[in-house]
Amino acid sequence: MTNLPALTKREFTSNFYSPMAYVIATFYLVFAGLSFYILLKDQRDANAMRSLLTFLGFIHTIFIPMVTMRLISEERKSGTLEMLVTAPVSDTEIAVSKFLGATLFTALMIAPTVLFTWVITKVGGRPDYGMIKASYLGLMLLSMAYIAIGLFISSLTANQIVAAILTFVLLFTFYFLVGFLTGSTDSLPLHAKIPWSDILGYLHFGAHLQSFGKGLVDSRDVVYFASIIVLGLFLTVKSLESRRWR
Amino acid sequence: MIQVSNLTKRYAGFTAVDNISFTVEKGEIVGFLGKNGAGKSTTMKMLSCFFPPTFGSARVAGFDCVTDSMEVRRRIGYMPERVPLYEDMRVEEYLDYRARLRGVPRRQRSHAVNEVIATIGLKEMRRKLVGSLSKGYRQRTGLAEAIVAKPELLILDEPTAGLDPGQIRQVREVIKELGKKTTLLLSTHILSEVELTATRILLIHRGRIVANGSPGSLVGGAQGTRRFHAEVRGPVPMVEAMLKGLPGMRGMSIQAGEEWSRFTIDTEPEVDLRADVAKFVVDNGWDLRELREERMTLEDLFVQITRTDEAGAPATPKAEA
Ligand SMILES: Nc1ncnc2c1ncn2[C@@H]1O[C@H](COP(=O)(O)OP(=O)(O)OP(=O)(O)O)[C@@H](O)[C@H]1O
Ligand SMILES: [Mg+2]
Repeated sequence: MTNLPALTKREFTSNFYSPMAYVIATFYLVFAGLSFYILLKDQRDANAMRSLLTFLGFIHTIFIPMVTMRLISEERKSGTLEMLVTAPVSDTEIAVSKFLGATLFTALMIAPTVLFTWVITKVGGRPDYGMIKASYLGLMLLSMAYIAIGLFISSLTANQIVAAILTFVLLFTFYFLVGFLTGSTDSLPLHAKIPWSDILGYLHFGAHLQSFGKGLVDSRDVVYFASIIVLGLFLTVKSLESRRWR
Repeated sequence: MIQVSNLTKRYAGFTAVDNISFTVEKGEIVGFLGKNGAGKSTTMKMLSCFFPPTFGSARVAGFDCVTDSMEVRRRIGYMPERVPLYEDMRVEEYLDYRARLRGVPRRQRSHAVNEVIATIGLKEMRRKLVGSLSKGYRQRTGLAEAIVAKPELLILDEPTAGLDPGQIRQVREVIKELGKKTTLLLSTHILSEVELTATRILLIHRGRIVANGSPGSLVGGAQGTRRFHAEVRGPVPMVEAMLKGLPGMRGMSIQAGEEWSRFTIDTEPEVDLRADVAKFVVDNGWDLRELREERMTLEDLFVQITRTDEAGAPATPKAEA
């Protein structure tokens, strides 16, 4: 893992060389700002922050694929993957550094929303800092799970658009559709019990975000997201390694 | 340094490299030749551990390219055909980054980068974005990257493709200089290039090695007969009779002229009758204007061996030490 710092630095900084990153980050901020404004008008207090973070978790199903689509696809297309994998660098280092680079970028993208807490105090609200911290942790963990999935998808194709769409479909399915089918989505109280709904319910991203929103850090939820991250990284390493199979 | 045995690569039913075997000793500069699509890049990609062979094995410095790929990768510098580079980095930043990945220790890194920038002639370009470089400078950056960590083996896939004549000469000098310390395997389509730098040639055709030897021995060996041209002023029948009497003669054709006549003489490969011809002409009081040997070039050899009737097999394979 000696190459991890160098690789991660490269992955993180490479974001800032493409206009795409600025476009995504700007859109994100405008979007988050608008959502916050609407929620604040509606709720007028600390709950606005929780609602916002839950909502962002959903919106990330669109934004994260845009961050992860280029991770491996771009290098495959431009041929730099050939330079990367013929250097004395392990496939695990490659996968983890790309994951960390995207995670840092996402954290940076989310960071300005912290200012919204200050806005709440200005309009007379009393933010519940414990709850907000937990919500941010939940949002970050959820995003990292998304990134791990997006990274794996990006390793499968040289086409960034295909990678983005596939990732979005997958994330959307697990966030929205699974929630819908098992009735575990707050906003859609449709309790249509289908077979395996318990298992599906366990796989539902949103369900694992709920306790974070209440200010609770449940180790089961942390383990859930950590498992998805590890699985995503593992599959990415296997996908990179498959090139070395006979 | 390189041991390749029964190496085979199939792409979805198509055999790009077909059961080839060869070895390269430490210190050799091996020119890897072949027509477009012959399998050069495919072989190099297996040696650089980009992908594994379908069958057979390749070893570098005693390490298997599949099972010990990390050890192999630590020892080679590789420049792929497309010269993929990170467009958004500056030349020196890129070289420093790659040197770091290739395990050059932090303290030696800036020295190593400066040295390679000086060797390759990238001084004026060091602060430029890689994406803004001209083709030739991209190529040089790729070459600089390959040598920055002082590898034991350099694999260069068409290092001089797209360079101007001046740059080709410079790169050739760099390659010669590198060849003193490093083992080199380079593919190219510029045959004069190889004649000047390579100590050995591997010729691959349709995925098979069809010639393997030093440039001199290959050209000599492929030539069944030797051909001389002589231009003489004298009585044609007498000159003809004299030439026919020389040992090792195989055939002759004459282009008689008003004054000067051209004689094209084919002989056994080991015979050199230029001294004899000169002596006879002078002794008889005739005049000699030209006397030269027609040498087969590497290009002739290349064309001869790789010429195939579309359906048929390549010309007789040649292999020697
Ligand atoms: N990824 C691939 N999938 C299928 N066929 C391939 C692939 N890469 C190369 N080939 C085929 O394998 C053969 C050998 O290709 P290779 O690139 O090794 O040739 P080469 O000797 O390097 O040629 P050139 O002088 O044009 O660079 C060609 O017929 C090519 O079409
Ligand atoms: Mg090639």
